[in-house]
Amino acid sequence: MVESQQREETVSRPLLLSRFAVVAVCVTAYSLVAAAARPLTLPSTFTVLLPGLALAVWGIWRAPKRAVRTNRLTVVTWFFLLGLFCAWELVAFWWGNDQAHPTLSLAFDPVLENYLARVAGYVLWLGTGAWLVSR
Amino acid sequence: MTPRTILIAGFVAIFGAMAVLDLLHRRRGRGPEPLATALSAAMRTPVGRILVLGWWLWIGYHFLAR
Repeated sequence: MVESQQREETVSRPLLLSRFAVVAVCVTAYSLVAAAARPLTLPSTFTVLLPGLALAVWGIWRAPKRAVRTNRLTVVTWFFLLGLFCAWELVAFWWGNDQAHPTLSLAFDPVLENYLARVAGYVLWLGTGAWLVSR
Repeated sequence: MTPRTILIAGFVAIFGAMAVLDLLHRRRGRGPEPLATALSAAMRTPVGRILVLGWWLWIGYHFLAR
């Protein structure tokens, strides 16, 4: 029983690693191309919505991989921090919603004008999406 | 201290708190479970999947396309 389990783990590990490598290469290659599209243009809308909608639909369609359970403390804590973030966004929005009173996205605007920062943004966003749909 | 500094400091504090809580559980097994576990648990139900992936899609659109 233990032996067969160990054999299974040894066989599935390289497979998992190669799948990760394929996803990493695809995400990086796509990000290098997509980041060339300037924000607030039609190409940038397509470069986000194309993989975004595809991953979201696939992720919603497929059945959950594992039944992960968590406790009340975890739920309350993360919801509290999410609520705090939303409240702070609202403070920035009502205070001015400009570069002197930026929301998070406005604060990131000057950073994301740089091509390499946009590449990193795409890698982070698509990587998170790929991880989410695998849950 | 300008309003911009105050607002950015607030964001840094919130994300810092998230990182500290996450690391605290990973390193010492204390406190709430990491964000990845919370998200995986939220993705167990169809409604949870729609909410989490919808939020992810909106973040991408808001930061990278808009």
